[in-house]
Amino acid sequence: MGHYWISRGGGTALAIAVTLAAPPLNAQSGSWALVNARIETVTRGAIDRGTVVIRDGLIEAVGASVNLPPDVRVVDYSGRTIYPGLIDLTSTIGLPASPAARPPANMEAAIFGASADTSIRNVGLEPGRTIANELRPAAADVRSARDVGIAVALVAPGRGLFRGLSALVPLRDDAATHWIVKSPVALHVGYQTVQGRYPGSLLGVIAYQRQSFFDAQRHATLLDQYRTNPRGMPRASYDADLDALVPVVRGQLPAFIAAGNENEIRRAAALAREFNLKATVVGAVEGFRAIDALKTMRIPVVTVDYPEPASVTGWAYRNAARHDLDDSTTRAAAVTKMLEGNAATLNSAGVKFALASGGVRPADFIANVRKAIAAGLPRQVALEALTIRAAEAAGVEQQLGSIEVGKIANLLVMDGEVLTDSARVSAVFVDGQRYDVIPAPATQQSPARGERRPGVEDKR
Amino acid sequence: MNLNYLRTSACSGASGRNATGLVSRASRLSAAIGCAVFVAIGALPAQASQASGTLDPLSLPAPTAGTLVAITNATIMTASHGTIERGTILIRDGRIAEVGANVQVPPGARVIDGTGKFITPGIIDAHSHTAAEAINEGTQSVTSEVRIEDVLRQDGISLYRQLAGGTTTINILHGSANAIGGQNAVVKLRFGLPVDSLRFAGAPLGIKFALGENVRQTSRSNPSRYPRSRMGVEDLLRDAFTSAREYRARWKEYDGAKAVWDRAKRKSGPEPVPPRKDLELDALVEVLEGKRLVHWHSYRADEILMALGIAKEFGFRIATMQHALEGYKVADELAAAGTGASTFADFWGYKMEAWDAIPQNAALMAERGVLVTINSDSDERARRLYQEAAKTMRFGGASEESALRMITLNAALQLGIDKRVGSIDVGKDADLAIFNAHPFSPGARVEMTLIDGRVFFDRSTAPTLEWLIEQQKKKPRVTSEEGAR
Amino acid sequence: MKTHRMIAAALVCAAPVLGAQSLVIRNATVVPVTGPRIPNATIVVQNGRIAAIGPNLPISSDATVIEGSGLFVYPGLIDSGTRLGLTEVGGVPGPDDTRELGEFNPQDVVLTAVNPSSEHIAITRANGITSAITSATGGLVSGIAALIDLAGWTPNDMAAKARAGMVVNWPSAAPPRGFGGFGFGPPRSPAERQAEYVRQVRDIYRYFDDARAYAEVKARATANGATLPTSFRIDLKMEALTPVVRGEMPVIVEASNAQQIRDALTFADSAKVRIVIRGGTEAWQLADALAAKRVPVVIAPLTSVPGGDEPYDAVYANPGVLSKAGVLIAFESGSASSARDLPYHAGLAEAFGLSGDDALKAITINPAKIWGVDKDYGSIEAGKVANLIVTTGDPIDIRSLIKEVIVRGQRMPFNDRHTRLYEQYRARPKPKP
Repeated sequence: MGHYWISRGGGTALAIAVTLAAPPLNAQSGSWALVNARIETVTRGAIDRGTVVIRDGLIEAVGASVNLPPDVRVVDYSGRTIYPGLIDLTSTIGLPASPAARPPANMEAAIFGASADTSIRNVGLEPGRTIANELRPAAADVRSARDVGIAVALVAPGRGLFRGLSALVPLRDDAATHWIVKSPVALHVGYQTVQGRYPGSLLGVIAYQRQSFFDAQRHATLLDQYRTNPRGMPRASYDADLDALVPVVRGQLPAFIAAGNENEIRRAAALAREFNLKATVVGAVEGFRAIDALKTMRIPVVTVDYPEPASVTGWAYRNAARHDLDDSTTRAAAVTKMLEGNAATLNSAGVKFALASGGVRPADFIANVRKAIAAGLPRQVALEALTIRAAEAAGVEQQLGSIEVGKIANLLVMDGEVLTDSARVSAVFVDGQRYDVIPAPATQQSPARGERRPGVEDKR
Repeated sequence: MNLNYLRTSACSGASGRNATGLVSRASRLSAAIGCAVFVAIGALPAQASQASGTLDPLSLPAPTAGTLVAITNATIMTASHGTIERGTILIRDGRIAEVGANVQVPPGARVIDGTGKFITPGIIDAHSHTAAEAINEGTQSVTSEVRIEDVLRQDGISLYRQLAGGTTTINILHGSANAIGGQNAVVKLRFGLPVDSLRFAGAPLGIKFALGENVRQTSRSNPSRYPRSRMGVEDLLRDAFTSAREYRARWKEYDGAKAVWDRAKRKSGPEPVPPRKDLELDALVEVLEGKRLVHWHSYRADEILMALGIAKEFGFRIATMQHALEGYKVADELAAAGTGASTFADFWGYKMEAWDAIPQNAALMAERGVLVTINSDSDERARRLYQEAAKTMRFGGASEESALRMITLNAALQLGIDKRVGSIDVGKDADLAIFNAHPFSPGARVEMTLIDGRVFFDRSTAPTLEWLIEQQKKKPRVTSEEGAR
Repeated sequence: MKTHRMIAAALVCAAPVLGAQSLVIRNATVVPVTGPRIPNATIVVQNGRIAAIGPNLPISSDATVIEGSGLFVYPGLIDSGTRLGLTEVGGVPGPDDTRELGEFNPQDVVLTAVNPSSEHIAITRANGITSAITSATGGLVSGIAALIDLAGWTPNDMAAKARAGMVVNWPSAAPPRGFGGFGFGPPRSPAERQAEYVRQVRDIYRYFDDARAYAEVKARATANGATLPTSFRIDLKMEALTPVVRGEMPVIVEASNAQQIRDALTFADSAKVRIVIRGGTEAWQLADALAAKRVPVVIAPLTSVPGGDEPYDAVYANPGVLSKAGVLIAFESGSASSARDLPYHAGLAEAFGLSGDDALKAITINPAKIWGVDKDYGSIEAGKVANLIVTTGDPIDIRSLIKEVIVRGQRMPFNDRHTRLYEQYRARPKPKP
């Protein structure tokens, strides 16, 4: 057990040290021909036995019979299947950690918010915050995500009402921030307050968002008029945050609205409708309760961070009807099943969606997607949701999400069928760089369901 | 009073109902989850159909409306035209079609036997903070831009408990943390339906203002927000409404210039730029124009007079003073201004500004011509407003009908929804509370609550303590006997 | 009646005088509580006590007569838990004596802090409540509660039983019920709360164990009239607990949820003390155990919402369940400013299963028994203290008016903060337009 790991790194401690500090041992770049593999292109069907040629980080050729260029390194992937690399649109990899949210110290704080914060930044209320400029991905985080098959991740803060502009980051060990796939991808919006200032409640958050979009609309008008003819015109103020909202109200940049439960989804839909936003719901863990609202927006990003049954909309209804006294376990199980069946329900209702982790650990991400499949989501739809649909949601379907000539060479090499119990990730290609996946020692216990990786939640 | 038959059940047919109206355990398990759990009171889960195939174990049956329902032989306390002994209410399509002692029950009507029962209009709580995910935006003194309707939540168990107390319509107000609070929402307690169905369609807009100790943050050791004094509050209000007037003028000016520009064949200059849209001032302009009702949290008589003065200065009517615990001291001024009062029956002494409160307040104000309601301001009190109303008889000598109006018709009048609810009159919504006894008597409890003619609470099928204990006796639970020692 | 009103009005400024002159209520329906109602009865009151009840009793010429035709006479109501005299205006710290610092204060005597001039006393009394337990809170042991009559010049005048019970605030492992549904301070896990709970409960056990040991040592040392040796250190806290461990004074255990009540019952057995459960919101879950152990329950105000998973009527129906199981129940207002609502809690309980008779007993004879004063209080019987109310109906009916309140044979004036303000502003002339 674990001997392979040890022989490679010369001991666990050494392996970790090497991973963190030095150029990783297992990244190999160059031009490749991956031969004899089953190829699941996602958009153009499967090739039972074929070849993928990679050059300069792009897919140069795909097919059952491809002439091998003479200068490529040939890897025989007989018995393996190649998929497009997975995309997680709900990542916080590389974000600086921020202090954990504190509960109110007393009633005063509960009602009025904490005393005024004197810091200049209002983390969570910075529409103009450009995430690409501040990323510092830790190699261990990158590797643990990549090891389950994720090749790119959309990074945005996980809290706040105007969280900033996200970046789509390749999960490569070298200079990931240098090779960002796209920035900005979207303006990220949510429903959390900012400590110590207005808005201090959900009431204020929604009002603030609406006022901001009205301001941005006017700002856009002023900018346009001033550009056309500055003479005699009032000029718009310089405001980076307002500037960031302008492409959003013009429908040029999507708004990713973090909305998990039914009412949040409906609030997001109302905001999108009022300001004619290109809006994507991120979360939608209760999407099955708000299908009508989801259908009015862009393709949603459905996360698999299943909530606890008792925190789900309508849990209280059980106390408004006679029920078996010992039904709480069976009912919780039924609710869990319903939550895990969310994606399947959306699929049956004709909603196209991307799937994303919602911040759970990478291993749990895949395990939770498998639960969605067990609850009735066709595996092929799940695969699409993790690849091409995610690419569409991020507006990078020309570059990512399927195995096609000209697309970025992000590939997932599997032993066995992806998203099945027996599947194992053999290698992940990111931008044409190969990362072999070394099986971790099997001693580590999987955390409890729904448990998040420490630190992820509080990153902003 | 078992009204199972009122609900056309999509599930009960499949799973069957035993003699007690409960479904046997076996049939529950065999039925689909969504239906099985709630089949005891029948009907298809509201959300299940929406979820296309996924049966939602967390939904309540949608109460179905009988197209024609008759409640017969009951004591009907109309709140508008006295009490009808042995009367009948006929409900057609959710509205009251007929009411009286000599109403013929048409063939085909579903009949609820009201013998021995007392029926009142559905109770209206003029001051509630339930069914919302946030109540106070207290970080600023003026937050007229925030709206309760943005943060409604439909599934709090408290809504059910309030239904069980006969309450059918509530006025959800912003809190009192700041002088100019947020916009209120009037909703019906259509518990279990999606959040949008709570809204009371057509209810006039409103807003919450506040005065006194809360807005001055006197309980804070280190207040950082203006104002700190009652004169500061007046200044803030005058400043806010002055801004609103200027804002309105700017828009009028713009509208004029824009119209001229639009009409001009040769554009003499650039298109006029609209002023900044300001959600905060928009709401205040609506107040100035009489399009938004002001519900004003207040305690002391002097600050009530100050508020009346500001309203007069800026030319609007205050719909209600909320709490108004010293309203009795200035009842004539309130009556003259056409301003109502919504107060507690006898809750008092909980802070300095509540020290001159008296339980005769409501009755005395009413005596002087003020439109008075008794409200809950609490998820607890909202379950027994009928009892609070009775206290106005005990302490202020109010008549029975006057007391009943304080929790029904008067509240509808204060909220501008009296055409729809508040009394048992032909044409109004069939929002009704059915009591086992006179609602002001000590043994009174609600047996059934209807909204729009649909049964939202029925004690005969509700999970009561009595029912729970019976179940426990049938199937003893193993309780953990862990001693603390 | 009119003239008597005027006499009462003359007494307005003075505190009520407890005199010997006889007082008669005639032609009223008497509801003795402990026996069948007596129509057209006369009650003669002398020296602060009920001298006689019956039809056609002779009335002495100098007696003050209350004409009771069409009216009812009930015993004065007893509130088994208030803050009367200890606090005045909420949120105003000056007059607040409801809590002391520290975890263990068995030596604190609440009667000491009772302000006989508190506005709340007259206001509460005007609604027919003539006696009340008043007690402090704070810490684990908050001191000695007093049963007071709601009239008197001094705290001692008012005392019906100066040392009625020792208040123990049973700790709780339940999540705090804070503002808006969340607690203050750092949230604690169920395991952390349970650990803290176990620690606090252990502290209570040890404390009472110490008290028993102290009492035994002292008794041994002073046996047969021996002088207490100088080496023996007097401990005022332990002294205060001595009557409790001897079973002479009950422990009032403030306990609401089932775990608290269950553990308090275990404690009572183990520490061999007599307890009264006060709070008891979830006592229905232990109704049979409480009945079997003959532990009375003082039920907290019914104006509280049930826990999230409980039936909507759990709080309302609890008293009926307890009463039917044979538990001796009483009610408390738990308040000063809302103490006058006491009978209405009983009324709410009646709507949900408590019989009307039992509801009435729970605010009259039951509390008299619980506090060990049923020889003198709680019903209309010859020889008992003349705490009486004359009403237009059942006092638990909100619509009933209280026409007379008699405390220790003395008619009380209806003159309190509320009636004064009411009369004052009712007479306000219409303002000039």
